[in-house]
Amino acid sequence: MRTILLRLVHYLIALGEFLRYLVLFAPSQAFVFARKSAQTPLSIQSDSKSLKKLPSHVGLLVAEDDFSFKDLANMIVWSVSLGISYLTIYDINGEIKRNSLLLQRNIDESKEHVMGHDSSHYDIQLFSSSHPLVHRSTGTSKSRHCCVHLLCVEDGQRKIVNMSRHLSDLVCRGSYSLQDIQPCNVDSFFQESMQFPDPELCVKFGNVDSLLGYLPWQVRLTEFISLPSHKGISYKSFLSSIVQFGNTAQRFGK
Amino acid sequence: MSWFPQKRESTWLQRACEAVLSAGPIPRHVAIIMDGNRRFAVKNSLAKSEGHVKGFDKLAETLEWCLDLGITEVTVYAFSIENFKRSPDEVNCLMELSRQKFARLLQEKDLIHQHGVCVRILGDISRLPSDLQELLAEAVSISANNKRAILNVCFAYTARDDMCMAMRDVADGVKKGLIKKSDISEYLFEKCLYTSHCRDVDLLIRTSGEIRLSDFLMWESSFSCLAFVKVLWPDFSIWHLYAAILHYQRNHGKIQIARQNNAIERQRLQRESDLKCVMEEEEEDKSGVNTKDNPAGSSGKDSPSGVAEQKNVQSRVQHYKEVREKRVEEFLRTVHSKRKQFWTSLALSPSDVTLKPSQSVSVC
Repeated sequence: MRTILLRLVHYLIALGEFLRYLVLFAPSQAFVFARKSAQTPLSIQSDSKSLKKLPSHVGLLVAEDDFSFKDLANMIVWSVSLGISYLTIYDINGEIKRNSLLLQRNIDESKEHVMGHDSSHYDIQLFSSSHPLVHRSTGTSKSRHCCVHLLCVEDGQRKIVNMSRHLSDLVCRGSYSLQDIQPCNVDSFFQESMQFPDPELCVKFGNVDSLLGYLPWQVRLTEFISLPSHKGISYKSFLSSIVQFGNTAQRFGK
Repeated sequence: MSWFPQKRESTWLQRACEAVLSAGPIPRHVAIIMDGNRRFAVKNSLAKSEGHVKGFDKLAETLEWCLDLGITEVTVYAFSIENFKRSPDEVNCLMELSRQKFARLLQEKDLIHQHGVCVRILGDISRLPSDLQELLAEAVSISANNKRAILNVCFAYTARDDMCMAMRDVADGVKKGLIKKSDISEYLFEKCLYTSHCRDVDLLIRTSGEIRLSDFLMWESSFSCLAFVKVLWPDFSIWHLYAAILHYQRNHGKIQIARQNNAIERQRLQRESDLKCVMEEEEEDKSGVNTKDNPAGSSGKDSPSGVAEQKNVQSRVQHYKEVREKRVEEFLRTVHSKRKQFWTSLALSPSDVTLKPSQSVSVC
């Protein structure tokens, strides 16, 4: 009896969530289909100028079972055009990491599509721990540069354990003192080894409300914003999460 | 207000909700960031300190709701190391509030034992005024043997500071030869954190609508359900708690799968590491034998078939594993007893403040 009631409550919530999704997200998607190529590099850059605050590192946490590399590639290209310099793309099982070449192909297509002849001005590099440098496109010195890191669960807690091993090694060899193991020093070690600053914003896709192992050292001040799915995501809803980030104030403990 | 408020009779609606909720999975360990006291004070035109007092009252109330629901462990973020950056007035006020509340808790000794509550303090309390340190230590020591419910209070805590402390302890262990570098694993590391005796955090609630962790339990909440609630902490009600638990239940299945996969992966890595260590030892032995003794001797008696060889390796890995586990447990015992000693020495020291002005710790 109680179980049935609880199930009923959960079905009702699921229905409510679905209706909310229909009202909030579906119209914007339908709208985008009607006028597909609305964004040009210029329009994106003007959007970027109207933002109150632009994050330099954005994490995309995909907590869904299947992936659309086309939509991931679109988000990467939009981010680069907005002026974001670091991206991390995370899925717990490393599915995206394994398919980095597929993602690369989709990025090239998307770049062509969004930016047209400007695409050579944008330099997008893919990194992952299994392929330190997957692809390096030849960009001119004037080009905008963005590092995209593909991460999975191995890049989470395990990296902290590895750092602990590394520091133990240094301490044993006498080249580092125990008292120097302090948050600010260890943080600079992490930045050096991971090659990116802490993410300021993490956009989480899917209906699991958990970090699922995403960068436990780096998420200290990261703002988390959830979107229902990355599949078929429109530029508008992606931009809205970055606008929302710009509107929040952080107090850093004060 | 007391830590154990007069039990209010719950309404039939609350009892019904409780009964329905507990038909599903209930989180066993809930962590709370109690944010929004000051905004509550501003909103209701109260003094800032009044907001913090209201926040504490809400905590006492929430603990009772949690116990009623079967949530046996609660961790709260009382004071971050970053909070020392606030105005001296406010820091002093928060310290004074903590002093009062913990003094009150010590007065309510009987109630603590009656409710079976174990209080733990997580954080670098050497940063706090020494009289407060002693109060905290006494509260920890008198409640240490209670089993029914656990309240962890994060005081002068940040997750990065916690992880660095663990790294220092681990590095010290390696330096003293208590453990090997290859023994450092996720398991060993998390057993060196302040939360080493805690259950996995199942649900993390942050009030006031902020959507970040602010350096709270970052390692521990890697696989927890997050609930960001848009309400100022003093306005938090039992209905918000019910909603957060419903949210947890909706996420429970998928998070459980992720946790299990992670546990399996950890075991796999551990086996791999053990095998690697055995191989390395063997390599060292062989080269040692070859250089010291005559190489012909070893090759003379070696005629095991491939199967026997493999069995031999397996048993050696098994043996290595047993030795490693023993070594790690021994190391963890020393770490934990060192920390325990720190707490008992604090609790035993005379609470006469005039005796030791030199010990007062400067607040950074």
